[in-house]
Amino acid sequence: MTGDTCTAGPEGPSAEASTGNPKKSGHWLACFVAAGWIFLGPPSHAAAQTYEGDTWTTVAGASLGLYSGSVMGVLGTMMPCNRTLAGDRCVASGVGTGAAMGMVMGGLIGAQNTNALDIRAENAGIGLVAGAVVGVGLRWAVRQYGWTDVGTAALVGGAIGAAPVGSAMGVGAGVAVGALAWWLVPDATIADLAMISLLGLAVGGMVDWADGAASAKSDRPPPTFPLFTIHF
Amino acid sequence: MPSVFRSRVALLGLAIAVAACGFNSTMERAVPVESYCSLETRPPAVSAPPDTTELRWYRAAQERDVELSSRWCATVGEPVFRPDPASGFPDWTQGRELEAFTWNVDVGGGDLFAFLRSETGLDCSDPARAVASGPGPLVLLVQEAWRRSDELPVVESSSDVPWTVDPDRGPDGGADIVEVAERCGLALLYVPSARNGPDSGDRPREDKGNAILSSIPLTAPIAFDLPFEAGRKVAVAATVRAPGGERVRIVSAHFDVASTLTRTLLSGNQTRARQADGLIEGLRRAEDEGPLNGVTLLGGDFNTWSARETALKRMRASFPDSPEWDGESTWRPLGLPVDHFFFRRGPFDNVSVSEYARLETDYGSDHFGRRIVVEYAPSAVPD
Repeated sequence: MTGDTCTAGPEGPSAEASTGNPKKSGHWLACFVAAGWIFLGPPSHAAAQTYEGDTWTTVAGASLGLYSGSVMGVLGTMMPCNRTLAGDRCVASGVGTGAAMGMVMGGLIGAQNTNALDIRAENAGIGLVAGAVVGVGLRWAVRQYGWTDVGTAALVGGAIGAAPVGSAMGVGAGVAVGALAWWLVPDATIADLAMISLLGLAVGGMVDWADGAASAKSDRPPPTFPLFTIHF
Repeated sequence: MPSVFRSRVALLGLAIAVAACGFNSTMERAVPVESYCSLETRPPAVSAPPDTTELRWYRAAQERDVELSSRWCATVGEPVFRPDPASGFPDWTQGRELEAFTWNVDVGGGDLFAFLRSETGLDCSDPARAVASGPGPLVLLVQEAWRRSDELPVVESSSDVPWTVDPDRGPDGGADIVEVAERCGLALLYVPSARNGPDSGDRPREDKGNAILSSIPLTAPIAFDLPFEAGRKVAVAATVRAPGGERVRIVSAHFDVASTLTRTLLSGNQTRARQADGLIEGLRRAEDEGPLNGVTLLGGDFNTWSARETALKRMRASFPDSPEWDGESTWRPLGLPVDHFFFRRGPFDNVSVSEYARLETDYGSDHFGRRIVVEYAPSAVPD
């Protein structure tokens, strides 16, 4: 059964219990606190001029990539796969593909450029906080949402934050294409807009990881956005 | 311990935790078991139960489903089953078609009296006139039906009680499903699934759920407590007799519009597919236990965002004689194709669908209803 490994003791009639995972509230709270500690702990920029990694940084990069790629996988495939007869297996394939790609790309980044990995971890932390804020808003607005869902929103934010530029560009392109389809194609609905937007986000995010892996050795300076500097 | 090292180790732990307990590719399967509002089950019937008026229950077997559904179940009132319509309505006899509708009435936003008068000619202004003006054999599958009753338990605001849906029901507060059945002389099966908001003292106590209204007698009532997603959903079924005595099961169903964010991601957005699996499995179990129906007509609000959703594909696979989707959306706010009919005739080739369409008026609901006509041709009699 989904999520059985997250069981954390008996539950009472709490808000969490009704959100769909009655036995996991304790676990998710722990995950959330742990994630905050991980991402928002003391900065871990390498002081050396060369950012060559070691086994640990490789594993850490692979872990971050695995986490981010898994979330990208489920976000990107859950709506298209929900139009197939074998929707569950289809999504599982998407999650597996995203996880594998993310793990490889993240491992490459961690092995070759610890600074790039640290920047991604920091951005993931920012995403985590942003996701938590969104989650709190959702919990306030949606009756059946509990703290579990706030934690989930935070984790989604963290996964997107680990690949911020590609995700942003992808979702932007997805919204544009989806809106165009909604406008031009008679049968298209808002569900198609949402599907294409999420697909764009996921593809953009994975391209971001691939781009990071390909350029990990170059140590190029960060580009700037109009309002603030963002690293990738 | 250096911060770099600590962070990396922690990152690894987080990734492993998320991968292990979050994204499980094995989706849940619903296997209905029996009983209601308790954690107990009953063994499957050894022999086919009689064609009774006693309500049978099937529910999802997953521990989580049982627990959450039981908590919601404790907040609502008793089901209502009135198997016989007022005398005078025409039977389903040879040469007559069975006319069926499915409609989400938006917890009273939709005007059932206006609907029946306009779509079927049934005037419910008083029971005598209702029968006199009655149409041919008629079945109406209702979703988000509501009931007002002081006998409902007092409940406070909690996660087991959804927010109040409070549409404009007119100056008299509207007629609930029981009153509609009484005033129109129709048989009724109503099974509440949830409360319509907590008790604040400002308004009467209400629950809501699925219902079947019928101008022909109903037997073998069944409730299917579907796999639990964001809220409790109970599909209801009853049997009517075709002119040749064939048993035709009528089902009214309502799926979740969306689950929680956590479940949406963990299940890969399989909310409605899981509920479809549960309903299909429940119907199969009911058929296995008997008495065998063969013909099944299932209508409802499936809350599908697309006509190509997994849930609909699985329903069509299980109901191979279903009419094709006509391209019409039925939910006004976003123009989504949420309401559908499914049909299977089993071994009875003489029962078929002849008409299928969306209604042109919403009668105050946020949904348009759908109409289907079931034809009956007598079996060939050997010389």
